Amino acid sequence: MRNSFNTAGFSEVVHEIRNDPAEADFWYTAKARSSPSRGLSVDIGPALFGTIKSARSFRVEVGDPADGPCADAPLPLHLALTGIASCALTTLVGGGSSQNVVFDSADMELTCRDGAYETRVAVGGVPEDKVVADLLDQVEQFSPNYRTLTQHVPVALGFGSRPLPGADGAEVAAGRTVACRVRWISGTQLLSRPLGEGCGPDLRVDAPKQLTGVDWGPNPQEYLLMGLAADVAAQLGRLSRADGRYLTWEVSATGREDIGGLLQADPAAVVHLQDVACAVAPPRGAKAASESELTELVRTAFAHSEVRDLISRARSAGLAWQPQADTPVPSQEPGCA
Amino acid sequence: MTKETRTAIGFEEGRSSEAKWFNDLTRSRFAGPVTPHHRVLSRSVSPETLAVHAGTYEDPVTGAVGTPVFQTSTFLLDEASYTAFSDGTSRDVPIYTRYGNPSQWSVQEKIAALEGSRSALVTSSGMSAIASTVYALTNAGSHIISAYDAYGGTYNLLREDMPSAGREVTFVDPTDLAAIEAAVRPETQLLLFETLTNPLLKAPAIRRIAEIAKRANALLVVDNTFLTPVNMRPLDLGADVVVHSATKYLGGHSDLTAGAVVGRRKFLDRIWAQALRFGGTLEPLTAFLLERGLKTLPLRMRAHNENAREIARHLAGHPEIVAVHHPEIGGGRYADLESADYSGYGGMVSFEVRGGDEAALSFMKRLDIPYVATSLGGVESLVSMPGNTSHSSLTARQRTQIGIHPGLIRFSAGIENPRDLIRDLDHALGAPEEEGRR
Ligand SMILES: Cc1ncc(COP(=O)(O)O)c(C=O)c1O
Repeated sequence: MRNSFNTAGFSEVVHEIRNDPAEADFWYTAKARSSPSRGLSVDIGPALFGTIKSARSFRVEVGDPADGPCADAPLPLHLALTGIASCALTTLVGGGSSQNVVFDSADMELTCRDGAYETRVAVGGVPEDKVVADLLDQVEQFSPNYRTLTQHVPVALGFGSRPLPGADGAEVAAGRTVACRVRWISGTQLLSRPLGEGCGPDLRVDAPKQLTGVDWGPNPQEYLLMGLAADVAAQLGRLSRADGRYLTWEVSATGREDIGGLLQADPAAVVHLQDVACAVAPPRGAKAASESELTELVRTAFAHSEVRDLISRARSAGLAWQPQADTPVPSQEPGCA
Repeated sequence: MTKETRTAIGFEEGRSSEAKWFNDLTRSRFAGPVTPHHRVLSRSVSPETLAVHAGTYEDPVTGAVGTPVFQTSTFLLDEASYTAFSDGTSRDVPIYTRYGNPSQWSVQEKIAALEGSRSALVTSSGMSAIASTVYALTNAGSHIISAYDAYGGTYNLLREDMPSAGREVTFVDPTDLAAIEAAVRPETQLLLFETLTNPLLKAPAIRRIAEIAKRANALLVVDNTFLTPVNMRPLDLGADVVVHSATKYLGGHSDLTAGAVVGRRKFLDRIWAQALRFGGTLEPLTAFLLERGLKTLPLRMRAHNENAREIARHLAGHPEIVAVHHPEIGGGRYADLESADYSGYGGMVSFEVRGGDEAALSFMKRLDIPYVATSLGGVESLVSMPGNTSHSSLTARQRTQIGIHPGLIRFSAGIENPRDLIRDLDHALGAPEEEGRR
């Protein structure tokens, strides 16, 4: 298979969803937990691809942004950046594979500098720069997570069984720099390196086997939602600790991707994630706090989440790419594929 | 021969060189794989006709009326083969027999037609069909629901291999719909049940179980070995995938080991990929035997159905018999049986002889016509005791919980004359003094 990418599998999905649009709705879930004793972690829940469920089990231990830049683990924002860059690269290689382009390498660095996002893409092995430039234009238009970064995507908030509308307007600038370098390996497999000292091991990305991957890691949409759930959980932990309350918070983030957007099976399909929602479960051990205090805390945590801001705010970004002559082909690190 | 006739119908339409994006790609899922030389009949044709004709490879060179045995392990490479490799479509071009062979395609098409589906896969055994299906359709991290009295090989696969493969399994009584429903979890991905269970012939409500699976967004895989598509078509009742031990009724002559999987290509292509990685290929010569056996499946099933029913009815009134398990005998277990979903109940009948295991062993020795052997579904009657064969690994207590009591005998009625079989049974039941004849 060209680039180890199963183009036939994607072609079949294009034709399937043209016949049966309900099969185009892909749902993803992530569940984060912030515990005073056990720290911050995030799991994925079962994904649903149309009518087909994919129940994989992946957990990432996450560093708490309140503890400083990195604590031997990626920050929630690293997970979100991983999700965006890996989606862009998968879109690039998949789209290229559909037009018979063969890649030696594809890398993307995505940096968040105080709430502003910068990209750097390097592509190896494609002789014609125009081919790469055209493909990157398509990535900007059709990569679901990249579009989620650049477009206004509402994020709903719920606490217990109650919706808390209108909480996703605040702009966040955390005043620091967080970056990931994501490298395409083969097919739908990628490796993301959170940049900076002690930000934990490389993160594996892959499509589920229902979508031509091999279950090597969570998929790009799941990383983005893991970042959201973990970030809101971390903010909740931080704010409640500041109030002297040691509570365990559970946050689940869900989102829907219309796969017809990426594939352009339906030109009218929305590309970015939709129905993005964050649900906060009432914390255990919160006897001392009143309902309205906790509700206020949840609203504040959500407003302070930089990943929530990443998703909800529209911004003008562009994929910065250096033509091949200027780009050293990145070295392959052994033992990753 | 040109490449157009070597490759599966639909393969050429899926070759696209002009694509600029995914939406320009032209491959869609189609039926098969079958070449234009394979006989494809409408699924509305009757089973008797499908059994004889569906899938036959009509050889354009010799005009042979039967499928040739493509006894080869590999095929000439051509441009179509290379396209198949680069696009990931190697199920649709004969490249290497472990991937696919026209002999397999013939019998696959016949089985797909009989089950009312578009695609099938044949494998080296029923267990390779089941293992490939379970692995292909689940992920590490998922949950499976099955029956605690499923066929022993299936039970062992689920109990012994799933924990290390990261799948959790809940075993339930397959006739207890509330228990199945209660077992569902968010990560439940697969329900695996049999159309008729071994050896007690429980008849799970496939239609109801399909509804539970659908609500859970889980897939329902049904092992239709005991009933065959002649008696039930589980896909029509809402199942997603059907599996078979083709060693049994589909082959029908106790002379081969094979398995089959049937369903939409969306699932079958992934199961095919899993089966070829596991190496569960069906040899062309065995594919030929299976195709040949299948031609008489509806005829044989009629005889199996009748014989088992006659035997069950006869034994139900016999003083030496404590219990008879067969849907047509009725009883509490079959109170909710949706009889409209069945055209017959197959050739199996189980019964308990008075006097426990010892009496059962000597009864089997006195039988003249059936062979005392495990397996089922052949033209010859076979008889065995689950307690010392298929279910011997269970504790006595587990056997009692399932309902396998001492003295239980499983009778696979062949297609012999039922009067001969009944006379033989009567003789064996009524003549303890003649012990030791066999
Ligand atoms: C219901 C059922 N399923 C599956 C199998 C396994 O089939 P095989 O022995 O062909 O591997 C059997 C075998 O007895 C069976 O009875």
